[in-house]
Amino acid sequence: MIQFSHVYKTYPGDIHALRDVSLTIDKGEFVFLTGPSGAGKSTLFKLISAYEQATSGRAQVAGFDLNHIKAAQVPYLRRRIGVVYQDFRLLKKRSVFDNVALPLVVRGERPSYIERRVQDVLDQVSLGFKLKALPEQMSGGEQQRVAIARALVHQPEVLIADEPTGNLDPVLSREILSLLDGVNAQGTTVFVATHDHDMVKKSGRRVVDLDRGAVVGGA
Amino acid sequence: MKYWQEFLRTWAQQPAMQIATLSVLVGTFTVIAVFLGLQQNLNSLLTRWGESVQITAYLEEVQGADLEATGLQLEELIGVIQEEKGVERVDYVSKEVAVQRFQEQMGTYAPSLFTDSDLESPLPASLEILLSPRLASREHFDYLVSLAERIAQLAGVEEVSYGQGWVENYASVLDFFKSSTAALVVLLLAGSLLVVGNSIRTSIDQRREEIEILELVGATPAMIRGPYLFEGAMMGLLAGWIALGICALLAQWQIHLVSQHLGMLGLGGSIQHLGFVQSLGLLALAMSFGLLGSYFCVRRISSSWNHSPVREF
Ligand SMILES: Nc1ncnc2c1ncn2[C@@H]1O[C@H](COP(=O)(O)OP(=O)(O)OP(=O)(O)O)[C@@H](O)[C@H]1O
Ligand SMILES: [Mg+2]
Repeated sequence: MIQFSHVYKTYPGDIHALRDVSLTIDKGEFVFLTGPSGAGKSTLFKLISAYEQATSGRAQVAGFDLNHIKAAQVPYLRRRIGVVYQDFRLLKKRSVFDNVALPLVVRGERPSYIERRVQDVLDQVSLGFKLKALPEQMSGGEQQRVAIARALVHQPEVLIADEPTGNLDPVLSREILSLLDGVNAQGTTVFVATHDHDMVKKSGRRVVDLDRGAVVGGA
Repeated sequence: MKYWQEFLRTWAQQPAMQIATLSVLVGTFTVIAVFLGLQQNLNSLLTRWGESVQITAYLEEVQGADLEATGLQLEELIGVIQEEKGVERVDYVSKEVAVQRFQEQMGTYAPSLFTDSDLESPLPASLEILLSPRLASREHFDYLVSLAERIAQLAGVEEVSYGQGWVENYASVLDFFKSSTAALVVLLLAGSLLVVGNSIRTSIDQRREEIEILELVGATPAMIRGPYLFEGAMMGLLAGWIALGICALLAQWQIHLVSQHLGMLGLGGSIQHLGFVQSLGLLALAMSFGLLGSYFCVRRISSSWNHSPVREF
């Protein structure tokens, strides 16, 4: 589902965010991505979601060849993946409902379906009662759950989540993790970046470890 | 429906900017509409004139003795003139008729000299030569001149008149007016593109983050551009509509003015509003330039996909 081969990402100013990353994640897998701050976790996710392009190497996601993808195809890749961004990227002045509905609206789904589906997903992240709230008036943990709901609402083939439990207390963290487990059990490939070593250990899942841009374990 | 929401949101977010843009556009399209209207009226005036384009040939005074011979000569003269290309009709206006007409036109202002039927009329007899309306155009002006000259050479013709100076000046003024209007309209339209573009760019800048998020959830460039194109088109349409309203008021006022002060020229009736088709054309023009100005801005709206050269190995 995700295939990287000798991928380098160098930001302007000779910042080598990823060095020779080779990595394969199969359909239906649940994989954690760990590594110290600045190791390149978010950069790897940015390549997967076609937000950045690799400096060199080959990358494939959900059947799209990221080396040759045309700008016009990028939206269709993005509709097949769900992304939880480290900084949430919510529309701060739009309601929770509007935010979560966005991936469905973009795909031109029927309003009645959108309403039902958004309510369901928000219930799953325990925010079903906050449909009309604005993200700018919510706590960090609540915003994070809205971001998770938006990443799941269109039932993506691949879910990538950058620190989805970073702002949550242990109880909520566990809830979110079991939610991701459930999503994975239905066939979605899940790739989660985290600092939470306890969580990783307890889950017994595959772990890809990054250090200074290079894969040091789990590939 | 969603486009309308976005449009109203832009107005709510930056009303000053929107009003300024709209005002400039209204000004632009009002000027364009006024010039179109003026041109149309000048054109219709020329056409009117064209309908009655004629040469008047004043006949030489013939001594009363030889009346019969004169009659014969007259028939001949009319025959010759009728042979000429572009001549539709030749009417003989006798001295008596000329005086009568003069009296009708001038009414009470006519000097008593003319009303005295005992005296011989001081006005000469003439031939009114009605020409085909096609000769009224600028292109046929040279032919009109040569025809007039030929008629002047004919025996029995004293002098010809066809409003030479007036026709020539009018035609060249109209030409000049047409070309300068075209230049002005082009200039104004280019300006309107810039103004719309500037307004759209401002609303795009205000929503940078939003646009990026839309792209991240898989919106296509067309979806993202849609509201801005709509905004530009609506802005143009609204401006065109207001401009037409202003023009209608202006035309009303003009007709009033003309009929009040220049009534005796009988021009009042010939001033016309922009017709239905022209109004529709102006609206379409305003809308498409709003759309175009917006299009130039949103063409490269996509921001998130960084196209950097990729080396493969
Ligand atoms: N847009 C950018 N321009 C330049 N350098 C960048 C950019 N984004 C990231 N970097 C650099 O690339 C390196 C990897 O950053 P990245 O955000 O991928 O780390 P991370 O593993 O996600 O860290 P964290 O755990 O703190 O989120 C860092 O040194 C960072 O400074
Ligand atoms: Mg990060």
